[in-house]
Amino acid sequence: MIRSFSILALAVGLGALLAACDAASTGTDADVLLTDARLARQAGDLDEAVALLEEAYALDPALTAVRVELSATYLQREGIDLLDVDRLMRHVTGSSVAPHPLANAAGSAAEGRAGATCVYEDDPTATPFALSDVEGYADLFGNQDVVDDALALLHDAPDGDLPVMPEALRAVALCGAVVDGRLVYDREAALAALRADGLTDDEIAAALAVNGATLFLDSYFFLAEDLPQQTAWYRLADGTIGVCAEDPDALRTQTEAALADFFEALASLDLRAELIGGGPAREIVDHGVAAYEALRGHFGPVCGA
Amino acid sequence: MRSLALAALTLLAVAAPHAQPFGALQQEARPTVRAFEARAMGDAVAAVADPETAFFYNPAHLARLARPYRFTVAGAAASLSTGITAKYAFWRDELEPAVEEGLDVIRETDHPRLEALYHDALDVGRRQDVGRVTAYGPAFQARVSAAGWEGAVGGGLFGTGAARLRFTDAGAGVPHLDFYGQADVIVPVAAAVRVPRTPLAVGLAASYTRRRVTAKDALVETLDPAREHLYVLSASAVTVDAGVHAAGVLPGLDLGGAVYGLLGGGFTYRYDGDLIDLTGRGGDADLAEVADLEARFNRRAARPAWRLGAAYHVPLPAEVAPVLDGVTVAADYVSASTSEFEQPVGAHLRMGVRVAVNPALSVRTGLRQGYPSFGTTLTLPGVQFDYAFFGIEDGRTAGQLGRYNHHLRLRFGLF
Repeated sequence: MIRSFSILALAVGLGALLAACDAASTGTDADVLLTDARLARQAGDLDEAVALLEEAYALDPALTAVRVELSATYLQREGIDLLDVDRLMRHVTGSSVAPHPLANAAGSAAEGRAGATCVYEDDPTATPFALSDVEGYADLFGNQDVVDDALALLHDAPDGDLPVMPEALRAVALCGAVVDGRLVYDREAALAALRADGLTDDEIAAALAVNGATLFLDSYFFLAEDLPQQTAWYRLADGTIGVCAEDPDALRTQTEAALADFFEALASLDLRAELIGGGPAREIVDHGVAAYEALRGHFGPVCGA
Repeated sequence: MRSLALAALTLLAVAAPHAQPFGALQQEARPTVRAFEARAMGDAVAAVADPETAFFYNPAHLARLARPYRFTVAGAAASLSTGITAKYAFWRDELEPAVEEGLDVIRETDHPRLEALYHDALDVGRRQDVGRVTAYGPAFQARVSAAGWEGAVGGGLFGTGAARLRFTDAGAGVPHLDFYGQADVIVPVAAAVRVPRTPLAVGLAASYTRRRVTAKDALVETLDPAREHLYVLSASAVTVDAGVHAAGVLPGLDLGGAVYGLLGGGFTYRYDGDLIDLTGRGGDADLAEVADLEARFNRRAARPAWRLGAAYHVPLPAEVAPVLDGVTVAADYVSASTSEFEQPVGAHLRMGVRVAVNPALSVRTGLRQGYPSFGTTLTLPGVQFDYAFFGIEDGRTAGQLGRYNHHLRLRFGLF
């Protein structure tokens, strides 16, 4: 009897030991760490997922899939998602239903810009608003560092390698970047570059979603918090936006980079919508284009007559 | 004896898990009716001779049939993951109505509802859950002897259906739906003989399987309220398994092993126009999605798998013998992964104990991949009832992404 229990104890002990070894064997290969991190995300342990991905990133900074996964996990851990972007875009356009009037009226919004005197101050139909006056903004802005970290993963280039996000997502020129409501960039080149990195279509869609969300938030934070001069924002009776600034010409120079980022955010979401086949993804892009055109009237370079 | 048992266990433990076949619920999975006995006993059954495990675990077990014949008239079983009710409720109460209304409409009219939908999908659904039902048709097993050889033959009809559902974050909080469903009709036949003048029994089992599979692999935001179907692909295959069982190689010690998919086992799936309309609004088949499914299901072929095991019949002291029929301790090493990932050694280990209280009642418990299991069987004249609770690893290493399940079975026949 004692011998039997010895064997039983030995068997149970050996099994438990090996199982414990498995649990402890997270592996050191970056691919294994990536797998374990994805499983940790499934298990809901986002801190563990981030730790594993940061370890994998340290081991192999050029591994594109790790950078995409880590950027997505950073956002997931803080609860930042595309619906936050959608909500902010709606706040910019001031419309929860139809973005199109704004898109069509971008030119008139540009003409309504003010010089040192704000023409909207005495307009009884113009309603002042602030970019930061939207539900959840404070929480989002509190995570600006997270947004920056995710952006860096997708845009910084490891030694001798290319960044995850291809140059083809940038507008060739901000003037003429949107034609008939459609973004002008090289879709085929952008997609080919992402696939050349060895990413699957699912990983590309995730990377584009993260890039779109973080670039939009980054440019939004800049406009809401970091403009070097005082601005005042108004919703006008015709559904357009009015922006007053002390020096409108200087404002265009100061906002050019943010506008380019905003464009790339939209291009990312646009390419993602093409990749996954439309639906609400396309609606978000359409709304974003309307917001872009509304802002374009006031920000970025002055375009031809 | 102790050194032999230790050697056997060590050999099992160090067996290299390279080139593992995948045992997870997916299209190339081996046609199997999961035995309650295995579920309850930590899946350590290779050397535990039991006719219940003869068709799908070790054909050589058939040669150890204790009575001249046994049969099943009919029966049913269900196995459900502990989280499946929450997932089903989410599907029924939130996702399906939202898809029918149109997510783009909800986005325009009720943004907080869309945010809650996405959040709940990822919260409720990030771990996969599996539901499985099994119908037992007529099955028989009978002892035969000829020319000095003793053995047994058997055959049966089984139907089993299983579904898996989970949601993953596809980047920036967008839920991705991963649904997979599979239904098998399996007709196994098996034969086994005892090898004269040796402790060995060997067996072969051949199964014909007609399998139907379906899947939905899509971002939630792309689900189309006007046309969303589940496309059903089908295929057939014949699989041959072989097993060996050695009884009493040392006092109380049995060994067993089996190779699955020794021959055949490959499915080639085709779409024959069968679809399930999810929204009730009809619409043509999405041929691109069908082509993607055919490519996905035919991408990975089945590969042979194997298991080895040892069982020790614990000698009972005189004071216990009157109240217990027997106690068996067993351990297996199973080559197949239980997930989509190659798993290290510990995740291939199975251990279990069977306590036969009397011919009507037995109790089993075990440790599978580090997860406990237990179950009990009550056998009455003409009817048998089983319940088991068991865990299974869906991740790479033991303890990483465990899933617990309930398993119920009711059958009628002579057992």
